[in-house]
Amino acid sequence: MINKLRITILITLLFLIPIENVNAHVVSEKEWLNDPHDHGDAKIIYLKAYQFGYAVKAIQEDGEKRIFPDGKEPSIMEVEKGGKVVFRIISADVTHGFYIDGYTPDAVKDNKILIKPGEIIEVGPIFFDDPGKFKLRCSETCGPLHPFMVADLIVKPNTYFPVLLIITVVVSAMTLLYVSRAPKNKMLGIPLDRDIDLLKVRFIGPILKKFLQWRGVHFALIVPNLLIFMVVLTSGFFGNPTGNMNFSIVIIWILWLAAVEILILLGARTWCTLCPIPAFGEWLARRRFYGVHKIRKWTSIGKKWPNKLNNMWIPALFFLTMSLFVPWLVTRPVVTGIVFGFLFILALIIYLVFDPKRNFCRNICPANGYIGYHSNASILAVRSRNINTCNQHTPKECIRGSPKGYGCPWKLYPGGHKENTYCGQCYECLKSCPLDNMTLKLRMVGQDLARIGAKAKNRFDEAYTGFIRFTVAIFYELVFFGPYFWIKDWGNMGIIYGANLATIGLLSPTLEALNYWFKWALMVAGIALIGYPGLFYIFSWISKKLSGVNDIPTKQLFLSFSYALAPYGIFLWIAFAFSLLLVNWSYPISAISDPLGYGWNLFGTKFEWQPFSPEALPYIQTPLLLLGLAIAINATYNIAEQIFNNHRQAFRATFVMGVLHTMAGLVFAWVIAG
Amino acid sequence: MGDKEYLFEFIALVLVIMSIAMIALPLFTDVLKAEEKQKTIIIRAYVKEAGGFQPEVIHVKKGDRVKLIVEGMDVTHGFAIEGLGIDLGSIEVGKKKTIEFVADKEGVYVFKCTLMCSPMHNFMKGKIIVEEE
Repeated sequence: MINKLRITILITLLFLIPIENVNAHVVSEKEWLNDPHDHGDAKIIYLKAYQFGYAVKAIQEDGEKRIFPDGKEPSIMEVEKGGKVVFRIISADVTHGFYIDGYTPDAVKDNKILIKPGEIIEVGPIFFDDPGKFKLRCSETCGPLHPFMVADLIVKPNTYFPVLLIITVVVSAMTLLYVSRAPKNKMLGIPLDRDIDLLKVRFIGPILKKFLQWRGVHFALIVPNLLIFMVVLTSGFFGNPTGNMNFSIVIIWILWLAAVEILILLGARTWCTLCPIPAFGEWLARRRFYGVHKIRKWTSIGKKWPNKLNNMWIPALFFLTMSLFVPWLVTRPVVTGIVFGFLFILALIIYLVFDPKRNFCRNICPANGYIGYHSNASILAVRSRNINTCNQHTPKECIRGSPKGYGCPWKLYPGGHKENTYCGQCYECLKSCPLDNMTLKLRMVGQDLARIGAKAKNRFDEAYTGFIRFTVAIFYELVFFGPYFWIKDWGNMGIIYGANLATIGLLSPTLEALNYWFKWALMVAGIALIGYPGLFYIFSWISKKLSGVNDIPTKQLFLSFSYALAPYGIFLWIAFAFSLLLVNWSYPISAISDPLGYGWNLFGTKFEWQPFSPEALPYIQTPLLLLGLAIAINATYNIAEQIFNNHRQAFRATFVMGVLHTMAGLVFAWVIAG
Repeated sequence: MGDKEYLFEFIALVLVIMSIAMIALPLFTDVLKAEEKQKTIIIRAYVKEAGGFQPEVIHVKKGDRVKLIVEGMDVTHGFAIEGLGIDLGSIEVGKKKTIEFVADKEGVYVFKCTLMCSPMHNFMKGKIIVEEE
């Protein structure tokens, strides 16, 4: 008995006393900085890997060593073409990896270069013969923000950067030249009044029509996503605390985010068709999954939705709030779990309390705001074939519903609507319309923008959605994959731990960290709410002065022209999505086999992290940037033409706004290539 | 509403319930725990702040053939049992390392992380208690 007690006490004591690692030989900073080897003419870069970045602490070149004190490390490493470089690396905290886009393609899987704490790793000499901008990436999971642990390395002469700047200016000049020839109702040469009736296309049309008119289509599309989101919730709360090992993070913030951005361009609000978040409320209120409830009794208190909320303000500010916490949101499973769980519950409550339409989707959901805003730049739209037919047809089944379909849950008049903003593409109108007048249309980007922009009265909510989304796209590319990677640490509040529900306490920040977060929050909110909109207002004012229009207030121009950011923003977001996809494509595929990050391999789709030619990223992003820029300028012209009804004035205004759009394009070009 | 439509509603309900059932996914970890009876023990390595080794205390009977599977969960860890002369080296995230041994001597064996993994790395320890039959 006593013996047992003694052992227990001993063991308890043993656990309280930390044992120093006898095996580990801890290298001193001095030992690391004094390289005993002779590397000949190679340049030696002394790198300190830390959570989450690489600090260049010293550079040795031609026998001369420059040491950079803390806080003075260069953000970008520079190497001459043909130069040889030895990287002498230590870790400041935990084990990291080392990978350079395009130069160490084999440094994954079994040949991974690991930087273990207490060891000095020498990589190289690497022969840099291919000029351009490349990124160092951590190749070994080192904590929650591991996927964003990058540093820039430029192999000079980085000719692509000045070339890209020139191309950007040339493209905007050419677009301006094009609009100077007064193209009526055209977008980059393609007439805007032309569209394709998708349901009348040969072969595909009838099949698509039959599919969309099938009552079960909405349910069939939602259920797989419901399943996925249930796994997201459970893995968010109970899965591996490390983001890139967790289904919730990698499915939502790599696959879903990228897919939604691309879907907006190609399919407008197709995500809203698929979205399971409001489904519980809708099914409960309708008391049907599949059919149309004939009695028309809703499970809902049925309060009237307040008119004040009938705009995009809550979605826009919700999105901005999420942006303020984005380093947490996209790397901590529990934060993602809480946000999506909250959305599920809120959607259900709103369905049960207010009149059972898509009020949550229209006026609360943070994704709705931007999806709706950008979908006006989409090539897809649900429209009536002939508006006159709709207007003359008094029963209006598309609003009131019929035994075949519900009245528009999005509170629209589907027959008459001409903008995508609030059309959730649930395809009820395709089913309820007795005249077969509703269809899907394929059209050029920006068909409706001119009209929407010109008639936008006091739509500050939509304008601000545009500003927030546009600035945040560039900002994310800069802080997550660009030279200013250390800014994201402010937003992260310097916390090195991942978190699920059990370890959520690890996310409590220190006061100093909160101080940094305030800086981050001020920066993001300042740029998105004041900086860029302010610049936009100044340019709107100049464009008003230069075009010599007196009867239209600057405010109106400011609001109207902001709609050009709908296409521009979505193209930049797609560019950002490619940064995520090309580097991290293996995570979502692996997570399908191991949703909780517990080391399972259910379907045998477990992959080692291996980027898919990330060195090609700038070349993939370039056409997206240029296309976005050209469309933004042309859209500005179309809007101006609609407002002024005068080519000369419209062109002058477009020229001024074009300068601003080009400037933004040059900034983005710098982020991706310079 | 015809029978066919009721059927559709029913199928839909089943599908929805199946989707919601995904919430029960964490329970499947128990399936793996069942292996423990055959003295196969999965030790998941988290940083100490997030729980350290899980489980931290392992009871085995003297003479058992023990199979340990150590799995890296958040950052790279190390694993060594000093008293048994076992050192698995580094265990990267998503990787597993396995060691088998016969617990032939009674006593308490401390295992610990051998690679700096967090500020509380030095406290990241666990114990294997070998008990008499």
